[in-house]
Amino acid sequence: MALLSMRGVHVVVDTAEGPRTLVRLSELELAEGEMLGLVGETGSGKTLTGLAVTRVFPTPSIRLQGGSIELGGRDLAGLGERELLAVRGREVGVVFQDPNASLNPVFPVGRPLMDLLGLHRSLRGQAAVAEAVRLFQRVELPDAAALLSRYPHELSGGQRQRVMIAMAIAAGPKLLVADEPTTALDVTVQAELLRLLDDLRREAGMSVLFITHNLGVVAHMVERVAIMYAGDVVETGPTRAVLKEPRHPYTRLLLEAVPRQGQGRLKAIAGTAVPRSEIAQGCAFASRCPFAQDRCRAIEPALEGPGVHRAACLRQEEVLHV
Amino acid sequence: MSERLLALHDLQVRYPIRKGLLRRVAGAVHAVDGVSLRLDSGGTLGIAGESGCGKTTLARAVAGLLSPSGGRIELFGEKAPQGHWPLALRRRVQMVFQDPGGSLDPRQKVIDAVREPLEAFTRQPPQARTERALALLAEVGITAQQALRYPHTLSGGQKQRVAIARALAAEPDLIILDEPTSALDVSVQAQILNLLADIHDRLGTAFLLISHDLDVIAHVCERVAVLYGGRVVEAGPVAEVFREPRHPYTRALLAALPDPDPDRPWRPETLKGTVGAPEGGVGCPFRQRCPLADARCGQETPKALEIEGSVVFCHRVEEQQRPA
Ligand SMILES: Nc1ncnc2c1ncn2[C@@H]1O[C@H](COP(=O)(O)OP(=O)(O)OP(=O)(O)O)[C@@H](O)[C@H]1O
Ligand code: SF4
Ligand code: SF4
Ligand SMILES: [Mg+2]
Repeated sequence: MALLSMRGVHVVVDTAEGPRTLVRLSELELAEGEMLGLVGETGSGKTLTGLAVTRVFPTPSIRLQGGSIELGGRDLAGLGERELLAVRGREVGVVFQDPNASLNPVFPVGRPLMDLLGLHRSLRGQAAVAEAVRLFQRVELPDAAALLSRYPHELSGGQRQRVMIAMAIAAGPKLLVADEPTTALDVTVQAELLRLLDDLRREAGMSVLFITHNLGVVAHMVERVAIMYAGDVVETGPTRAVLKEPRHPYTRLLLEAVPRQGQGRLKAIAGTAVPRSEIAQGCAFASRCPFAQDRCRAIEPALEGPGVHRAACLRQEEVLHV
Repeated sequence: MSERLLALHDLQVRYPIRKGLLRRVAGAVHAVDGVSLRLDSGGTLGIAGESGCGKTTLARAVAGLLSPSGGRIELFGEKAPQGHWPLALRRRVQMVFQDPGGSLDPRQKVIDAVREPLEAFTRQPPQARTERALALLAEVGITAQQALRYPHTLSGGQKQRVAIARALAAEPDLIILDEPTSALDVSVQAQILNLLADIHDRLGTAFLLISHDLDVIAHVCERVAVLYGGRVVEAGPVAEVFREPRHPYTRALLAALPDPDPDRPWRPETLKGTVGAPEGGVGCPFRQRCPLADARCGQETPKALEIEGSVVFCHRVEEQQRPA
């Protein structure tokens, strides 16, 4: 059963010339207890897709223009601001890339966590402290009780990110949106944090929308992956299938652009990404695609394929066999 | 014989830690703590390590942007002067930074950013400078139209190309690149890495490349030095270090990198503790996190041990090498 099902989600930014499309997602599904990797390069729309779930956009000029976002069978797109307040934090937890931006430097790190426990679980006083300690222990922070009264600058980057995870899971959400949670961390710290996220998911049967640009992390952390380009998913399927037998030229080129020791010239993707709003018709990748033909500029490819592995490319069979 | 271009002898850079109302100096961060390295002309050396290991401080010291607290920097066979560098030396050593936007003046058109070093370092007449600037920009893939624009109208990758063209304008012998692709996407990074490879092949410019990304270093460099806590823990030919990392930290660093091929195993090690500011002093800088640490590691600083063209600083590796 799908816990989260996003269809036709359309995110726009209001400009002087009218609304401009930032994301136009054909579909994205997340099963119960599943961790899905949402992968793409800068500006492809990963963050806005994650934020669209609970409609917390970075500026008021960005808004949800249409589409459905079903969480556990209920359409969040139809909810008003007040009803969404009850969803945020309680049913959907969020972790961002930069823990510094989310922690107030003048408060001890335990304070926002205890506020959340009061808000979502009506825990106060000693009960809140006890639960906060338990959560800090659960995210494997050392010296949990003492750490509650420490300030953000006294913690390492990895520890601050653990605090953010403790806050995100405090209310026992069904869905965790983790937006590049380890990108700002050192590689030797990243591995530990990824393992923790995976343990938490298993233990609580929580679904995780794991947003990243790192194909290596995806290869080893998630069973299913969705690749985004210019505001839409261009390929999705089991991680192994997508990474070993990509059906979309973009996925293929992205994999070939990763540097490795002892390898010659890298295959770079020509040009730069074109924003969704500037694509009048046809395939969004056509301007950079080595496989592009005239029909690609006329027909917009839909996500399709032989089974669960699907790509939005008119020539996917050829791409697969080159 | 390749000529010695850069040599660091026991280089040290310390930052004071100030405490209290009077901002008294209460100690020091040993950001670079006795580093010895060499780079031959036309060579490529990568400096790898995680946040706080001293990479950027090392790069800035080599570029003359800050003064060492101890040790010696030799450039082109002579001791690098402290303070302001003479013009000739400034021309020969150029630097490219991580943030491609920050290193370009927002009020200066792209072409002027490249004309500026031509004006400072060459005797070309203005018309020739303009032509040369356009040619340099074309070489890095910036069109004549883009050359007339301001930096903010360019993408991150394009700005980094301009920064590289600006460095090339001086016709340097050494370019120091501090995390040149860390702010870029993988597809844009690939374009920049290819550009760097072309420059190296064509002009023979030496690179000192600073990066936290071992894959990037492996792709660009012939040699690598791995830094931890302000010290080199292992250095050698890239192929050798990747084939057989010997230092426990190098091993952990390589094991932590996940490969995009799901069939290549990923077995990251769990390291104790967290990375702290380098304190200097006696002992191995990695001892708090090292899975192999014993009493000796806190009492003696590991000495350089040469194995098959590499140099490793670790007591345990040394003990293994000794005949039983
Ligand atoms: N505050 C904003 N105002 C206007 N446009 C925005 C804003 N935030 C994002 N966008 C645009 O929306 C699109 C999608 O951005 P989004 O941040 O979701 O991408 P992303 O995939 O998360 O990128 P990154 O990897 O850089 O985090 C981009 O074209 C971006 O420029
Ligand atoms: S539809 Fe055409 S342009 Fe688009 S990815 Fe496929 S081959 Fe390339
Ligand atoms: S010297 Fe000791 S602490 Fe340092 S790396 Fe070797 S075993 Fe580990
Ligand atoms: Mg993002």
